[in-house]
Amino acid sequence: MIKKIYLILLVIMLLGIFWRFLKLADFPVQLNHDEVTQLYDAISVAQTSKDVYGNFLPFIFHSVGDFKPPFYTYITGVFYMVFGGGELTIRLPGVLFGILLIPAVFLFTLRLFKNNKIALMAAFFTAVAPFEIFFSRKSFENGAGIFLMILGFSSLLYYFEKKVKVRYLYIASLFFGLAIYTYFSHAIIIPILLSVFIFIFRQDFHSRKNIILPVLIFLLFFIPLLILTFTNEDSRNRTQAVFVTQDLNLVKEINLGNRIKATLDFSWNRYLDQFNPMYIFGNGLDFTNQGPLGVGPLLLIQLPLVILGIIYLVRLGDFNREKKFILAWILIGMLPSGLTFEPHSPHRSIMVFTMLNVISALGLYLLFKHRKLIVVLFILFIINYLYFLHMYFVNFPFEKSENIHYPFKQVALFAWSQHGSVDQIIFDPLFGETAPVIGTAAHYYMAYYGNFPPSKFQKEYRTGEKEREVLFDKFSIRKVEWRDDQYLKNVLIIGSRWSLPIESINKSKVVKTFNYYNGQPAFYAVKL
Amino acid sequence: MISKLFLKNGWIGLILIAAFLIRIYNFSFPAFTFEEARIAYRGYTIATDANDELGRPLPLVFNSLSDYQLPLVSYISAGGQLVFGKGDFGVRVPFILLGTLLVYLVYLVARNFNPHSFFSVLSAIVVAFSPPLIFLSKTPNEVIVLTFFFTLLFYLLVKKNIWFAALVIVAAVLTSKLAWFILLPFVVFTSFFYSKISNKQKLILISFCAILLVLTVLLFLKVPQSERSFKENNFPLFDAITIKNGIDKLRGQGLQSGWPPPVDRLLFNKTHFLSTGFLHWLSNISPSYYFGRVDNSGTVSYSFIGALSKVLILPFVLGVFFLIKKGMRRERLILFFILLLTFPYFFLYPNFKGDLVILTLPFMALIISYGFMQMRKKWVIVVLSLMVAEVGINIFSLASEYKNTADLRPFWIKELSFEIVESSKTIKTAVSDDIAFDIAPYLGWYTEADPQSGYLKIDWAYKFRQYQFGSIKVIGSDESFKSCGSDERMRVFASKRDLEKIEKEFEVRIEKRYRDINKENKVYLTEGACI
Repeated sequence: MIKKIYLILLVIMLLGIFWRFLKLADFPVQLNHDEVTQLYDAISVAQTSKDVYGNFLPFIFHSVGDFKPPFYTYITGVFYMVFGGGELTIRLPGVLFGILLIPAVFLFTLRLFKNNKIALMAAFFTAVAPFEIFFSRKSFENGAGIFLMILGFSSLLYYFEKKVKVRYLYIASLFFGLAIYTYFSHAIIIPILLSVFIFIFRQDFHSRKNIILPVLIFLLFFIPLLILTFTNEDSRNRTQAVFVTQDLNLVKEINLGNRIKATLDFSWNRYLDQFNPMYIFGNGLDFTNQGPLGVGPLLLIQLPLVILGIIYLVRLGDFNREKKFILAWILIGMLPSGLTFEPHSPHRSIMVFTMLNVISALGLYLLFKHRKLIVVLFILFIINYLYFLHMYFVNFPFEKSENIHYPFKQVALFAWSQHGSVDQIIFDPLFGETAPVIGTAAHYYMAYYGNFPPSKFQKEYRTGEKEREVLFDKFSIRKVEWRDDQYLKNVLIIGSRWSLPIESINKSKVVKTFNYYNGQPAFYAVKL
Repeated sequence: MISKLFLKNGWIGLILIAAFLIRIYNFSFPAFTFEEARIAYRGYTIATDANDELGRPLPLVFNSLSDYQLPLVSYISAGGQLVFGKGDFGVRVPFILLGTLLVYLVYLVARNFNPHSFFSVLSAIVVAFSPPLIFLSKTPNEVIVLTFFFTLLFYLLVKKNIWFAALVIVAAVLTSKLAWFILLPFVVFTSFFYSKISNKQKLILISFCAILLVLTVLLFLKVPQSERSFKENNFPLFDAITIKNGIDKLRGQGLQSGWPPPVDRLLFNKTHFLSTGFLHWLSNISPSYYFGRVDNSGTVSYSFIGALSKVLILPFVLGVFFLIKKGMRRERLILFFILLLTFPYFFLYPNFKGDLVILTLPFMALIISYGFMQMRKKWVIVVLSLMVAEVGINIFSLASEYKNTADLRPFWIKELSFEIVESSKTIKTAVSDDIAFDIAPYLGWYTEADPQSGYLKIDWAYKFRQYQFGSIKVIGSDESFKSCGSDERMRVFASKRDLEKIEKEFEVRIEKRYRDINKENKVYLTEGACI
């Protein structure tokens, strides 16, 4: 029986591996700005022990207009040392943690419900859920955090079962300790959730003596983070920059009256809105520009299963500790998304969606005896899943590739191909099909795709005198002022129609056009 | 004995007094929207000379800028003014009474639902302190009337009073088109699961309801523009261009990428209308509307609070939990009323109006009270105190509410309307059409203008905006201005748009500026410009 269960788990894992590796190099269609910055920083740290700005083994990595927690960049550094600096290097840790999450969720659910079938179903939903695949493939650091967190709680639950095995408490401390370094919100959420967990399961910690040392180990991880968070200005800035008070609608409300009341009302409403079904099951992953047509973090077919799962959970026994913990997990897990400036940010709610997968499994378990219903459900699932795949592999690149800075890679490769034949390469990252947007991290794209040594980049990178100008090597990434720049000699200028009067430029000087994924022109290379 | 009597009737008496006082407090708040002003003014014209505001004798279908309006609310407004005369008192009092009666009705319903007196008292408190139910009790509107009728219908069916139930069905049909979509399933569901009327009576009542609805719809379809009215206001989902275009575009991208056409057709087709409608429906009854914000615009409620106080989410969650866990079938099924009453949201994509959420509040009150019953009394008192405090803050501290609704509910327009009408008595007067969403109802309502001067006698006015009110000309965006000749005189109450237009052509003297509550100049009284 046990062999059969692990065989099924293996099949589920293979399914998860398949969807995570399928055309991984091609989809997403280009490294996004987060990926390219983390990858180049990881290469820099691996080669020089410093980030691209010359900071020695930083605790927080400066990104462009953003800051990154350290875990994912360092782990990518390890992958770089093994696999080299190819594009896949940045995606592999995300995929790996995404795959490892499948057995982790299995173990966690098994500990929670003591039911193999429910655990397998939870693993299945983890293997195939849209948000899992989407975030695993785009190398998002939160995935590693969820994996470590799930393992941490599984270890604690395992300790309750095997009462004498105190080592599980130490293992849990280690997992939690690492998890808080993976993602900013985890530094707050994990201690809160852990405290709630300890409170709910307080009677299961057999002896207070047992938990003192594990708690100290966790604090050993947590206190430096706390100190660094409060003393590090970048970290504070990051928190302020994404906090709900940055929302313009809230600013407007504050101007109407009482600041505290407006902030409380607004934040509470935003928090509750995270539970909006259209967002969770409809279009929350923001794959398209077509209003309600999109994909949510969970499949639409999971909606009835989640409802059934909740009903099953409610009717199952008392309002026991497991139920309280699940409820706490969902309520606390939605806090980061509910308290930030974006109306919905699925990347901040992954832990909740993971739990909703577990609840879907409960719903499916409830239906499992109804064979005919399961057949209908299976057919609907296949159609729903095909729809998701179509969205992910076809529509998402067409509709949203601009958001991941497509075609910056092509621009960078072309710029390097011309590197020897010009004195300077000017790139204006202002682009956009319908409205102009300044693409960030252009210097990272240029440096990474030119295999530019990070040690050299650390020395040469500087800000220039012109608007938005940063410089290194022959590259000047800045606003193009065509009135002046048209008189430059032996220069390659790359810009979009927002910065170049492309109609009036002599066609012979336009040496290359770079298109968006949908075939519309994005940038022009002009050689002077 | 006295304490028993108090326990039996005293609490509900106190709650009703509290509900009534909350509803009459700050009597002139909220200022009317243009639609509410229209109903108020229409009530006055009906009460005085049996014509509506456009001069049509006792019609059954009225004009508004969003849809045809059904008659009952206008006739209630007329009734109030027939008794109390023209003015805030005459218009608001019938709705205040209805809102207060709703509290008592919920108390009665709750008593039938659960015999524990504590339960019915708590249900009544929840309804008495529900922000939109307070808010809507103070303005002439369909939602409070419909909420009252659905609760009454439920009560009558439970009480096996099918003849009165039939009357209420008729009244609801005449109140709002939304009722047409809810009534039949509501009657069927309530009859089968809550009412102990005989099968024969069920059949009679359900048949009556179905026949009445069919006849009503058939009659309504005889009205010009009725199909458009349905499409625009009740089934916008099927005209949602975003979905239509989205299906084509996403399918096209699939074909371009080499996906087999049959697969693309299987994945992108008209079923998206259904999935969108379904999710839209569920999204509009999500917790944020109930316990966060129900209407940020200030149309159907205070702008910065949900349909219920935030803290009531605790007894609500407990209520749902224990209803599912150990509730009897008829108790559990109360949850379905939330879905049933909000069903028209399915077709209303992409619009959201809080009206259907508000219809469910009496039933939400039952669920919340069920949750309260699971709590210790001291916690119940804490929750209720927090609820009263939050609702109190929102009711008594209205500065931000006034500012937020300066355009939708213009307090300042009363004085302006008066001056416009006074001006028109001595000189040709014009007023820009963008100083309010629709200025004509305000001119009629806030002044002593002769109703007959505004009669246009348009048979089936649909989304009709009045551009001539007696001798007052309402200036549209396509009008142009010229400098008045020596024998011409005209006073223009110009918006910023028209002032800029005038100043582009020639210099004009600004006699007076009118500011809204946000101290923004909204209207400029000018002389020297003619149309």
